[in-house]
Amino acid sequence: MRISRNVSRKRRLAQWAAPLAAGLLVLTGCGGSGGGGGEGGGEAAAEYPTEAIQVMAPADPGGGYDMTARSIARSLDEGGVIETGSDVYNVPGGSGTIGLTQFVGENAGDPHQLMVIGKILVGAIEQTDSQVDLDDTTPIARLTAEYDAIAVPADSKYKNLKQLMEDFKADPGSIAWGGGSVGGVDQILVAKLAEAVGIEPSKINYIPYSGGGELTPAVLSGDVDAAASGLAEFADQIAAGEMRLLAVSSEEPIEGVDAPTIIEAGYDVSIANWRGVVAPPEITDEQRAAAVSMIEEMHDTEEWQQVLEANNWEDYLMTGEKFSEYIDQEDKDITKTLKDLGIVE
Amino acid sequence: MIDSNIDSAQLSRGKLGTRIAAAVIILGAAVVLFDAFRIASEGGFGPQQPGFFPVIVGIGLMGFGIAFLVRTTLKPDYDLREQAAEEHADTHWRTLWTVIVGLVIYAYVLEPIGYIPATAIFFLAIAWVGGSRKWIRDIIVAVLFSVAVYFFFTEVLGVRLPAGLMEMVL
Amino acid sequence: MDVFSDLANGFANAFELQYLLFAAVGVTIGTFVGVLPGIGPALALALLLPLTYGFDPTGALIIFAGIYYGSLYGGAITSILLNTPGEAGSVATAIDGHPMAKAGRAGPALATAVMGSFFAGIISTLGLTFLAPLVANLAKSFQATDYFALMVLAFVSVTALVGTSIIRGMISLFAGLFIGLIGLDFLTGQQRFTFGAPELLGGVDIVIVVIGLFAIGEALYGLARLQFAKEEKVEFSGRIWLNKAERKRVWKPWIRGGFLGFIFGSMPTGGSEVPTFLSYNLEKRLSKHKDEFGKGAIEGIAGPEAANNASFSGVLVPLLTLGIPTSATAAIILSAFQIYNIQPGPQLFETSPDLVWTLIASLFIGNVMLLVINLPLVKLWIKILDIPKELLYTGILVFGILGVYSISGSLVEVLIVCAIGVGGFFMRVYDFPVAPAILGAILGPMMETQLRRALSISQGDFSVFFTRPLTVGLLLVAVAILVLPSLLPKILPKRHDADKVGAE
Repeated sequence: MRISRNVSRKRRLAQWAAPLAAGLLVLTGCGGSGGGGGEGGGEAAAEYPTEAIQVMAPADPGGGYDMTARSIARSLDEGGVIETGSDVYNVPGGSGTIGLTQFVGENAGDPHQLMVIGKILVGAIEQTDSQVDLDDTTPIARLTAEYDAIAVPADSKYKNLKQLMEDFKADPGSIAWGGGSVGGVDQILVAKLAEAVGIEPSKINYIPYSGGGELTPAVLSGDVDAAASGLAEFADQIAAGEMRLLAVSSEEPIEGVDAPTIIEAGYDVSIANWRGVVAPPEITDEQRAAAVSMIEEMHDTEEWQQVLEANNWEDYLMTGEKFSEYIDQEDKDITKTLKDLGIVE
Repeated sequence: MIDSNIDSAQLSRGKLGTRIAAAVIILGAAVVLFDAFRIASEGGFGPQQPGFFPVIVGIGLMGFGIAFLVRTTLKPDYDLREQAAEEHADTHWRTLWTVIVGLVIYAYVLEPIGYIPATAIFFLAIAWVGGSRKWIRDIIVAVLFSVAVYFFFTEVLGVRLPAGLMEMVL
Repeated sequence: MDVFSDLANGFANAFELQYLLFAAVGVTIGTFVGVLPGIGPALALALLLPLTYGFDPTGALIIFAGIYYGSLYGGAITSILLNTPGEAGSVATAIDGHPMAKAGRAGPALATAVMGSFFAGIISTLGLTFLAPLVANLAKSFQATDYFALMVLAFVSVTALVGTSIIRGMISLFAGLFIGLIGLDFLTGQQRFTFGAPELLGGVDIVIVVIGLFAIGEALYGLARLQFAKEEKVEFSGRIWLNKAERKRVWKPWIRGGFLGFIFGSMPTGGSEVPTFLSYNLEKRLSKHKDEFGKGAIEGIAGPEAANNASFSGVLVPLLTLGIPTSATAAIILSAFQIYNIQPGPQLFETSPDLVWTLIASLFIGNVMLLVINLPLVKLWIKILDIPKELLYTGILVFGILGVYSISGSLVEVLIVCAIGVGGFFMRVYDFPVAPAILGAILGPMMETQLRRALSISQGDFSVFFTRPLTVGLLLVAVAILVLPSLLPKILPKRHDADKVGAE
């Protein structure tokens, strides 16, 4: 959905709530005054940004990409980083690759365009045979990470990760793993766990679900034996004692979470579902540096720190060329895992 | 509801129409079946595999498509034929095809020339094809309508619509 | 009682000024759109889906509920005055409503429809209030095999909607199933029927199917026949209320219709077609004025309209508790939920109680709003019918394209909706039922996913479908539905007034 909703629009919406009462006036002509979202220029040419920052979320509203994009826009605006305003818009489809293709194709050389990317997109590019990949963008910064949880129903016989992994190793097919979409972070985590105990990833019995809302009932009803998903997805059920958290996928223990990391439990596996932003291709080095410093400044705002806290996102900042190298590394790593899983050829 | 005095020419047009429909369905089914077998050969035919349902759907479409063809030829369904004839008699085919072509052109020019001009022109054109000859009224309605929709969606709902040519004006 | 305190909470939320305003906006927009010829509730919601982008989930769903009720009412107006029912659920209303209007009794006909909707809406919303939490509780133990059995049950009941020709009904169903298969295979990520277009990887949105079949198809149909169309409009005058004799005739049909609508709405293949016709038949059989049926019997409006409205709350039961949309309308509402990242299912009542109970409370409020705001305004709504037809159909085309463009933002989807619209046009011409195609597109992917999930979990062992009592029970019911209709006539003595409705 090509939707742009950010703070300034929300505010505008409030003024419009009453006219909306006559929403059908679309037909009779309710005209519109308020011009676009801040095309203001007027600053010196060397300044950046000189126009509104456009942030694309390559997914439907509501998901992680969308929330990241909106949080960036809000922190840029309200944190006082930029004066020119910002807009968020969504381009769903193709697991994010439609958005990527459009972003690269239409915005070459425009430093005011940003797009949110993440670990899932790296896999999706392979999976959908996308013609455009992340090499075609100019990476700006990695910003956040979320960690996966490995959980079982409260009445499961597995009290810790070791017990689960022993059964898994003995008969890989007997453990039905639930998790997110095919080729996503959750499945990659399970594949890495399998490799850690010497199981061929293609032997894993992995059942994908569209998200936490669909996966949670499947865990509680006993459909799947164990599940991997974002920690936040299971937080309510874990707190209510309906699920047992066996381990988290972070490198270091997470404060306030009563479970070991997978590494602590004895398996050398960690995984972070990271997200960041990229700019279009063909921007100059100066423009890239300016965008990086804008995002760094945004990262330091009070608003952004609140966003991290409210969403339980790990601060995972990495910028510029280092981020480019990180993406390359991730690409190799994920592609290999997806090949092992038989998802891509 | 509809005039029941249908002549034989109309009846034969109805008959032809149903046969063309049957042929189109079978053709579509063939495409589905072909691709279904391709999917199945990559992913497997078993009920757990991605090819299972496509093959079933392809076979179902083909089977019922052939059954429909039989009902329009060897073992005709006269009720259907009569209804088709009535519908054919009441349909102004040139209008239909013009509108369809108009829709496709509209879809293609939407992004290059922008929502407001594309919609206003489309609106005018289709109203004219539909038989309206009140130019002044239609122009006013078309322009007001497209401008109102554009601003309501972009400003209130925050949906992006292509600005196109209007980008220079706004 | 838990339910009461939850519901009270919901009312407290819904009574916030902005939500009341939203409900009023919803019923008003809904009525407006519903009055347009050929636009029923599902299409009204599909076209207005972009409205949700600007609101919080609760507000959006309240508007949606309002739009739904409003468009039902708008549909009743056109069915009665113009004899052009916008959706299958209003077909029965037109059978007696239009003759009544021609006889100068359009006022009482409309009043029966609105007040019947109101009472039935209250009955069925109460049903939803009490039944939904129970089902949600039960559904917590549902496994993939049970969901699969439910889907089988739903598909078997779809055959009840197939209509006069089994062949054409099945073609329609399979075409819908095909549309549902397009995109990345959910369980393996393999591309299916994408024909190399990346835009198709995510599949064809049900909203696009609905807009194509209904909006584009209907507008093409209308435009192509304008040259020959004869206006058949009935002037409206007189009282919009029921006199004592009429009241006496309609209150029982209202209540019966309400129960029928709710019960059949909550079945695996919900929707309003089955309950409205059952209600029409029932009233015809029970009425003391059998001879009036088809010529303007007020009971023939009261029952079906009540059932029509009540079926909505029924449909919400499987939607909210199992995440299964059983009608086009429900599928669109599910899309709206998903825009907010809310997945209806057994957990919904726990994770988002405020949302659910505010929605349920707003159903009550929407019904009241309709009665107090819209019934007196009927003369205003009729004015909409004066819009020249060529502009109206053009407007529907533009709105259809707009709806698709705003959810997808891509040319490919716009072309797909045009193609589906052309298909819808020919389906009308050659009398293919539309409902099976839509249900196929909605339920097909769910059935496939659940079957393959169940088999993956069991590692390919089919016995899982025969070992769980719940699964076996549901499958037996499905078999019964399939077999009984052909067996019953042989067992029971022949009834001559066999269900022949809809033939006019």
